[in-house]
Amino acid sequence: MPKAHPQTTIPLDIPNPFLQDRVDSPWQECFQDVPEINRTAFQSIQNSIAAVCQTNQSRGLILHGEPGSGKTHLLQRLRFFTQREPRTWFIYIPPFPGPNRFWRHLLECFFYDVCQRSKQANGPARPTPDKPSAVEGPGQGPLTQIEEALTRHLVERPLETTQNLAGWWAEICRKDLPGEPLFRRLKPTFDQLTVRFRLDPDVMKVLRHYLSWNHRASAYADLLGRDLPEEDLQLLGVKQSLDDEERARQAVLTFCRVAGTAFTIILAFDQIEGLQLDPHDFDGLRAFAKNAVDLMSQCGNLLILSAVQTYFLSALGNAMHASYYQRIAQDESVLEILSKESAKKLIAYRLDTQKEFAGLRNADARRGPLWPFNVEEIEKLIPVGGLPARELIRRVRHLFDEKKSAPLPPIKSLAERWKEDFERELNRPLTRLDEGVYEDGLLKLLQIKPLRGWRARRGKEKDLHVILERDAEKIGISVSHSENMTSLASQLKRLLDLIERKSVGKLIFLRDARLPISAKAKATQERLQEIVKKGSRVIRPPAEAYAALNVLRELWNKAAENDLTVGDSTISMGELKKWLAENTPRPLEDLIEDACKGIEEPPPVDTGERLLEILRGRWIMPLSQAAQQLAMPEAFLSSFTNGAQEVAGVLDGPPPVLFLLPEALSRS
Amino acid sequence: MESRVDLEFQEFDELILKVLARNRFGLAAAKIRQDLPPAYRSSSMQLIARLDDLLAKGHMYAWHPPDKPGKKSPPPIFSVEPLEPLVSKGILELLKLRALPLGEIKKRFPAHIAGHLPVFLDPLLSKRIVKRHPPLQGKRLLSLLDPDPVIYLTGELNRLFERGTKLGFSVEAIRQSARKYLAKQQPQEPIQSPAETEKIVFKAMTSLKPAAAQGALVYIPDLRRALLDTFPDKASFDRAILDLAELEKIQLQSHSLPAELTEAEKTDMIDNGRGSYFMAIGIRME
Repeated sequence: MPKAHPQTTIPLDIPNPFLQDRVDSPWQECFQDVPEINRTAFQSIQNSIAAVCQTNQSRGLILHGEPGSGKTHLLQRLRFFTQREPRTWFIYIPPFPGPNRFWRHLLECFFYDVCQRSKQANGPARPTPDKPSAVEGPGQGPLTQIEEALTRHLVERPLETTQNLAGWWAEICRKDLPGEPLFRRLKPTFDQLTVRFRLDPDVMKVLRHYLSWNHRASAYADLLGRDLPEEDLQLLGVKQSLDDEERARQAVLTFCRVAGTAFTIILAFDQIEGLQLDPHDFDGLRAFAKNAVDLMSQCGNLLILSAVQTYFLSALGNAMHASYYQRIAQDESVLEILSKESAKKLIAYRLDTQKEFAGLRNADARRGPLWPFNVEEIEKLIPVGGLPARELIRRVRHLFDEKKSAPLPPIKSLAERWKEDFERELNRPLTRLDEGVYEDGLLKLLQIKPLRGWRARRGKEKDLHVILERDAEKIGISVSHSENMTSLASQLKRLLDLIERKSVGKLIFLRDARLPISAKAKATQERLQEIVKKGSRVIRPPAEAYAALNVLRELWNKAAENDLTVGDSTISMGELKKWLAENTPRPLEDLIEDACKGIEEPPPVDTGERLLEILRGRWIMPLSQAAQQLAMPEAFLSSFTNGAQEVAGVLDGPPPVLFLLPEALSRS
Repeated sequence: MESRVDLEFQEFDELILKVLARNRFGLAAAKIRQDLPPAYRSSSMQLIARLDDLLAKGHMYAWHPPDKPGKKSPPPIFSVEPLEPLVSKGILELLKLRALPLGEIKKRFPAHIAGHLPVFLDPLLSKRIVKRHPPLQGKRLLSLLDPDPVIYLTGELNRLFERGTKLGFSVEAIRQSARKYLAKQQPQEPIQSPAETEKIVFKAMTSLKPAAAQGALVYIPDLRRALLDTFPDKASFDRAILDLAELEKIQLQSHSLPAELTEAEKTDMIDNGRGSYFMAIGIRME
């Protein structure tokens, strides 16, 4: 008689242990890891770290695998590994927003990960904006990565443990109080380090302000790369902000060098595919290669790790000079897709993590580590060649639900994903309003919603971030988030010169509405008015536009990596673009409309009559269809109807629909 | 002590070798003479004597083109590297990029080689390293890959789908059914034992990329070309690789954007049966 399988029904209240199928960032605290899986790939990274340390030469490493095979998960394992390796720093860098913004983006990531994050797992958590600590100040809570490195220098104990260093730092902070006394106490060591490691004195001064809680907010803003007002710069005792590529580069080099040669800094560049706007756009990849190699030749303590998909390796190699590629891909770490054996290990581990579930399984001795599944069931899930971990988890999630006889979860749509991400983004505390978000986001948006007759490209000239071209016409879009009114006035002057010299026909000047322009800044105000007088346009997009562009960029980068998942489906780049074109979220639609007003010619005088003609007898019509019939961009038509509501109105979409106003008929 | 005559010979020999070094695919004696500085353009007899001496000392090689009936014997071609492997390698390098007609290949070689190209090509054809494809639009292409029958049977296949859809079958149903039918037609006998296949495949992988022994991936089209002698056709190679994957000796990574692949690239890879193609292979380390 065949042996009966142990009962496989699971109570409905037991949560599915396979719900989480992706790691969004290596800094994510929830860490579920089976060290045997991808042990070899991880060992390759460890070997590279050891090689950097032994040879005092920077190295490049390519980490690659199929989508969902665990690249970000392995980076998370690496981040946890660095917790136990006191002489390492871990910096995570998502795609930078444009080829001319590499250093500013890297500085922001560097500062955030080194100065704000702690590697220590134990002890009280570092205060965050969501969870402020009751006791704040230097020497409180676990050491940040920079505090740890600097304490080593301060106490001259390069091999001390992290825990002991925390004690030393607390002691230093007790003796000299936060603020001016601690700032003065740190001066001799900082001066000595500046000379010894060829560091930027201004960056070191601001870093000292930050660490000693002396004008900390201003120091924080400066190290993030914000263009500070004059009074803040005076407070910090420096002349210029770090908002320019060369100064940001110097700041990054200072951070790298201050760690010293005994340290290995892991710079993990993720989603490299996201650096392309389209398959023919190599600017981002080339900028990455050039600057990463520059960084490696300037500092001997770096491991530049680039995480890509295997299929993208040839594109990456073709995009850059062979010598650059050889340096970036000096070492290789390959992620394995799961075999039957590793799949079983992963499933047993996931089942084990659920306490209620483990209890249920242990109640019956016949239930093995894979219960409620059996070996054959799992093996059947693995096709020839193997299966990426994410795909396995998804399949097992469904299998688990079937065993539970749980009702099928509702299918999640891209619209829901957008809504969730948008809400999250809108509520996320912002440290810096990145001009690159507008530049990169607009270029992507203009691919999805191209302005009829206009070609959009990345601007190569200073201050012009996006260029719109049509025949001999050229319109420049310039973004400025400078908080320093003198810098802003200078930028506006340069823009006025560009119009004067006819380098561009018109300008669209963008500045986030949250950044005020002081009424006292006379020169700035005058120049803004002059720009408007010259037929150009000033747009102040609201917070929603910034958040929507950021979500657009994030989803785009994930889709480029084939890593955009909604429920059980992977959304391709084509699908994402199609959805966004058909269901353009309102803030993005408004932004395009606003930009259109900057370039549009006055609508033909008979637009109203023609619109009435096509709506007569139909009453409603999709905006896109009406725009097509009138041979004008949707945004033009939308703004026309909004501006002169005498013929038709617009109902928000998706898709947006025009409706005929009855009074228009009676008038006619 | 070396005599003056010896010194002059040495200088002369060096000049001859320099001329040949500039011409990878060698030259006939008359052409070598033309390329020498005027002061060294001695009589043909003297030059032949020096060439014979250099040949005897193993400093260069001579290749004798075959006689053509009723014609004077063509002169030998002298070169610093053996000519047959050099030309064969050149042909394979060209064909690695794409399939070419003989005329196109001839254009890439100097005239004295182009005229004899079939002589170099024949062994490659007989060993099936290079394949002569059936004529297509009046051209017969030479390629490292087997001809893809689909290119020749597009019309017939289109008719099959047309007929099928007229009968009310969906395109997907016809495709799946055809796949099943074709699977049954595949030869069932493996050429080597799994252990032999593993040895051959792993050896080829590590010679293509030494790091493959530590799990680094090898591009499947490269491996296919490297194993042409052992697996001369697509089916036998695909089968060998899939068998190794079935035994979990290797991992196979699929292309993430199959829609971007050309037909030729797809043929070079292996259909993964899930809408994409295996593009890279790695020895399983875990």
